[in-house]
Amino acid sequence: MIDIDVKSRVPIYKQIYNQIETLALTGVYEPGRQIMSVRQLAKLIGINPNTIIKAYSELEQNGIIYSVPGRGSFISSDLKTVSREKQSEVLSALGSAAGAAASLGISEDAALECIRDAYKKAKEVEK
Amino acid sequence: MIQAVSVSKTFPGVKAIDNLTCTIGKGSIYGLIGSNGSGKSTLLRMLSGIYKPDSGLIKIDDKPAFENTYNKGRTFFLSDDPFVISNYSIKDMARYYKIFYPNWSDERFTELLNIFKLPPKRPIKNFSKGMQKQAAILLGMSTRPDYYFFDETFDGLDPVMRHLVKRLLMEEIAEREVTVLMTSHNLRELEDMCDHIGLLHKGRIIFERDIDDMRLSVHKVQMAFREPPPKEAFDKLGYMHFEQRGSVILMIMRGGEDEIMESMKAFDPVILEIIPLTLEEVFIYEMEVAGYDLEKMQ
Repeated sequence: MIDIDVKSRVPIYKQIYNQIETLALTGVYEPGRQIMSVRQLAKLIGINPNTIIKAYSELEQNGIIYSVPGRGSFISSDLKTVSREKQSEVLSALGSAAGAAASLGISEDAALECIRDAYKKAKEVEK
Repeated sequence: MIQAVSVSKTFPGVKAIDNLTCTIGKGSIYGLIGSNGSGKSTLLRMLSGIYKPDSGLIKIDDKPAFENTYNKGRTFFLSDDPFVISNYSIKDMARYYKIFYPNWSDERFTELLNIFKLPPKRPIKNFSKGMQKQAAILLGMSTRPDYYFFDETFDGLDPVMRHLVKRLLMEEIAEREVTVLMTSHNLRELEDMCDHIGLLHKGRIIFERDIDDMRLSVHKVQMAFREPPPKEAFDKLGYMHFEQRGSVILMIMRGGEDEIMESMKAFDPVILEIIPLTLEEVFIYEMEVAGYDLEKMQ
């Protein structure tokens, strides 16, 4: 499930972090699910294990995963606080995008239309 | 762990290594970048115990490196010009390596022969340059070392082979705690593999960083204003680079994305974009600040 773009400006550990976070927050990886060990993932995607350790420890710090010594890492069951933070982050990005739209002379209706479309598509995907 | 303290090495007329100090932690993949003649190969030869430093101290796992048989048996140094006994095939070299490397694994050797698909019984010196390098990597990986020193090893591999070797190496690092030191004159060869990068220039490491910290520590800020504030307004924030074209301002700044975002919002830009730099860009700007001109160094 993890796909790394080595040419990207985003550091590799951040790419791993973002992808696992997304999988967890969207529920694709259900709470309690065991994620791949550092070794397995390093082998699978051919990435420096130290980089993966870094991604995992940050995920753990932010409460997205937890690890049980000797057993591995798992998706946290309480992702609500994480979700809330992520929500405010996304809302603020949406706000900046709307600001840019307004300054480019895009009408409020057109912007709202665009948001409604996106929501419609997201709902269809969920079904 | 590799420790070098105030190490110098001079050859007639050349100071190859000049008072160099560095530490490379166990299990780390350390990339050493430097132009031709910066001292990369000399440093690797000293770490492998082939050259003796004129002054200073080199220790591998707390044992002096020079002519240390124990360390040599668990270190694999692949020079840019791999050594082959004339007329020896891969199989012959395997027999020879077995004498010196106590951890040599026949099982691993057979496994790798199947992966690399090299002819085991033909003289290595008749191979193409790239295949000779592959043969050396194959033999090196069969010695199951604790330390790998790769001197420009990845520079000459084709993309498919490079990917294969990279995966094999990462697999090994994940399974055993192997420490890798690799050199290149090209940052791109190192950035997708290493966790630390050091820049060697005139026999000294003048810059050394954790690769991810480095990438996220400097950002490019692009802003457009209806009425751009004067340049002085940004002076107190500190920037590494400033460029203005009309109402568009481009800055290179130290700091995290959120932090920069907050401080820039105060100027009320119409468009604000914060982009992480490529590793190469970070290097260029950091070196510029340190007073070196990277363009001239290469």
